[in-house]
Amino acid sequence: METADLYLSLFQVSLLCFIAGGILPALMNGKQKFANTFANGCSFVGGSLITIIAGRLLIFQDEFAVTAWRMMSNIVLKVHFDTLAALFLLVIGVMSIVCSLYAQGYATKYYEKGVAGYLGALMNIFTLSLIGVVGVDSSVTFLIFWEFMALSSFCLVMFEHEQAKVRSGGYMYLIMTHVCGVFLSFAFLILYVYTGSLEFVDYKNVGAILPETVKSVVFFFFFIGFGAKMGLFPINVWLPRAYPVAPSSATALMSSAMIKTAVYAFLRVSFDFLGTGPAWWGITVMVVGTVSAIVGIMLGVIQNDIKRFLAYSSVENMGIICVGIGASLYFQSVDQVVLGALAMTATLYHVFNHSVFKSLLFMGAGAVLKATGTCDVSKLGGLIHRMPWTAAAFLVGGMSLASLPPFNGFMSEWALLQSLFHMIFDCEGGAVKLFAALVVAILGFSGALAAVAVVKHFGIAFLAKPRSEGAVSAKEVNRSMRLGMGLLSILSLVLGLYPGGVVALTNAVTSRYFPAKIGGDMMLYVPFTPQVSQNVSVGLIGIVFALLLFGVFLCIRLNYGKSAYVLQDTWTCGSVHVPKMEYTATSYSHPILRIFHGVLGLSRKVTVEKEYEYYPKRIHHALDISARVGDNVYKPSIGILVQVFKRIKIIQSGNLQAYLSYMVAALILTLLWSR
Amino acid sequence: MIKQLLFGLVQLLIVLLFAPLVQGMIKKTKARLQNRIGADFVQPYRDIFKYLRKDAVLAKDASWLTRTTPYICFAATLCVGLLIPTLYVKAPLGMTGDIIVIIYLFAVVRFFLAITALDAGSAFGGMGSSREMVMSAICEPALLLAVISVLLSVGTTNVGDIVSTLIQLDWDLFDYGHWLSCLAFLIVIIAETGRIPYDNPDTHLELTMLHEAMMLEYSGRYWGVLQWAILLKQTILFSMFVNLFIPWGIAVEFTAEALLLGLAVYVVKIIAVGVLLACIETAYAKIRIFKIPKLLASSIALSMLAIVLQIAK
Repeated sequence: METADLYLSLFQVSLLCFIAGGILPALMNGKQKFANTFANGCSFVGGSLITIIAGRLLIFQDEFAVTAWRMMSNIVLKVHFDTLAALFLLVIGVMSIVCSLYAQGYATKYYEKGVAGYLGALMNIFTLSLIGVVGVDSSVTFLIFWEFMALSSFCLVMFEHEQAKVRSGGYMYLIMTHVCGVFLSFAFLILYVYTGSLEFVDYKNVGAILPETVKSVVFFFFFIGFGAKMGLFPINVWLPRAYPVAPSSATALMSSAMIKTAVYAFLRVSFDFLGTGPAWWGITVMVVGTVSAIVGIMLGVIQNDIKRFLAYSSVENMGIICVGIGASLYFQSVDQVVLGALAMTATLYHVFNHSVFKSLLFMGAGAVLKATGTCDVSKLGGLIHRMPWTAAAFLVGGMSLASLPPFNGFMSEWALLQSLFHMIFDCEGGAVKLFAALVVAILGFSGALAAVAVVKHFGIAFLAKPRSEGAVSAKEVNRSMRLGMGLLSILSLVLGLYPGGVVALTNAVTSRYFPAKIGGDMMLYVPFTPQVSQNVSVGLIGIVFALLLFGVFLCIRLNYGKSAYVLQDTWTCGSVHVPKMEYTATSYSHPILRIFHGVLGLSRKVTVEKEYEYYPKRIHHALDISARVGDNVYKPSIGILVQVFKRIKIIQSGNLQAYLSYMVAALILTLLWSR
Repeated sequence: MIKQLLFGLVQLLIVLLFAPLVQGMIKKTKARLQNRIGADFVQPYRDIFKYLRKDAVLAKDASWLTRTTPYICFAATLCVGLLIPTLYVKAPLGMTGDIIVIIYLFAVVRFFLAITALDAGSAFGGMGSSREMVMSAICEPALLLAVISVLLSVGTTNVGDIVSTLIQLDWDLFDYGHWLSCLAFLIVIIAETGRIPYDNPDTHLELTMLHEAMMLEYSGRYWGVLQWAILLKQTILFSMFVNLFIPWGIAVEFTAEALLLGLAVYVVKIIAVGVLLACIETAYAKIRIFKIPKLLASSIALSMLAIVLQIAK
């Protein structure tokens, strides 16, 4: 009983922190510095307490439930954290700590405008809604918090609403979230019809009592609803528009914690509620995930804005997570427990990893934005000399994003690829084997494209000569921002070198669904059968690598003495080296456009201002990839919607009598209904 | 155990010292096929040790990346050397890594080369970096599929187990699947080592080049270390090909005779692959850069066919 009390008091204090941090800074907005510090302090303390609770729940495989408020007879606001919820609570907690540290420095940008207090308050409210989403365990309260999360994140996206770009991104986000949220309501309604209950407890293994078709309908309604929040293709359009325009500290929290709540909810409904489904569910989810991965990164690599690239890369990473979920669903239905556990471990591992490296990269982009005033890499350059810490952090995040060892991105990629390889080796059916081979190939391709994108953005923005005034006068960002990025860089390395820490936590979740156990300490250890196992240890290889690096360096130093070099201008056939001679961001990714122009729908416009035929005065060159989906699917469907709404608009006549008659009619109908 | 570890280090040293010789052999073969005398076999050694002694010239805008990338590439390639069986079927680090790790370690090498190519701000570096990264991105699925088509008959990703299983398999000369995957993998090897028809390793300052353009700004010892790393990478890629398609002769038992025989067979096999590539290089011209994806797509198609044949078997 004592532990329950401990949890309860920790939880209450943390909620109090977030609520205080959500209200008071907005009231004290007059004193900018104090309001900002207070808000971030609240986030920090609240986040730490949440982390402690979640870590303890996971390590001791505990559960924790508390009832807060009986709203109506059967709608009760209560939270229940089991290990699955605790895992995501941990992500929220850790990220809110780091983001509060970073935001403390980042929000100084808003002191002049006098809105830093509001930002801090919104961040606290947003975190509160995230905790609610993973905590509550009845369908109505879940939908309420889901909505609460959507609205609070909408406010964050709209934070710089003076710009038209921000407003359009924000509205698109709001609309997409709600259109897809409808599917969630329907899915929960169907569950209610069949069970007569709103409680998640009663939905457990509801799959057994649902008819086969209804089960599939519910599953795919949930998949659409949560997939939209994850930003899966083809409902990904809002993500690259909404993320880049929010303040960087908010984007970091959104990309690391908010889209993970959709992963949480999808895992909850698919594994807890519906249980073992038919094999084609898993395959469909894998197909959607694979397509999202490749489309996301292909669009990401051609962006010239760091934040837009990162947003598209979120689409890719959510695709990868989705492939993991699909694979574990498939393995569950064909009863391959070890592979199922491996795929799920890979999924959850990637949830951690993506949170860490994506918020690290968004923080890096935010630092660049704050220092230079732009995120457009074609206006940057040479920042590694002026912002060495930011550059190092961005490089770490980028390597992790490109899933390169020794950083954390590699470990989850390895586990996922390993499970897919064994889907080829061990599963029955030629079609499945071929399918899995294709998925491996496409994931490999999208991983390599992610590396292209990272090289492009890091190389163009941070290396060589600066391309604009802003980049020339850039200064390293303040200490609290560096602290935030530094912590995440270290975390990124630790999670890569020591998989045991993560595996201990994920095992608490996977053991609920699969009887097999993935081992992990310094090595990640996969026991396929008692005899055959496969292990990987980036840590050991990393140590050997470090020794070799040192050995080679020492060898050359001892044999040939200290390195001697002179600095010279880069050779440019005799002229002076100017920034214009550098390779540009657009040309860096041009080969991709050129090779895949059929897929991306590239249109190219060249207009020549002629004065003389062969020596044109000026050439305008414009590239546009109105990717096929944008023009051929979205625009027509928006057109249809607008037409429909115009028809419906006649009921909104502006006539007071008409409105009153609507009310009377509604009242009569309600009375008749409830009679 | 200690003996095996020590032997692993010796094996790595052998591969390291052998790598420039392979390049020398390839160059000599090419020269002879083109009716030239050509340089000595040992010319690559002379080059490397000459570069190591020289002072360097670096670009003014270059950062610490230019100074560390050669070492990182060298050490990462050495790590791959420890992960892959060459003379003896058990690689020293075989228990901690598999073929996926090998592929991703090569990706690390490529990542650092490509990022540092942008460090000096030269347009050539950027161009080479962009092309190399994009082409190798298309190369990645080709490599993975080729590997899968071989691994289907083995059922594990552990390189040591792959080799020891492949040796014991019943080989059918008319197993088309294996031939197809062999061809597919050969195309990937050509692409990864940057040879004709994918890329021309002998040019500098030609607008069509991929790989070499990234390395124009290195000099002195940095260039020497990097050059050696790239030769080592080439030899290791050949070893990978040899392991997957002609594994016989590798030492299975840890005895002196078996190991010596393994060494002899290994040297012969690697040089044979090198000579084969030299012949291909002489017989073909470099293809246009935007035709390269088609070459790699043909490799992907071959691997897919091989996989289908393997599944149907």
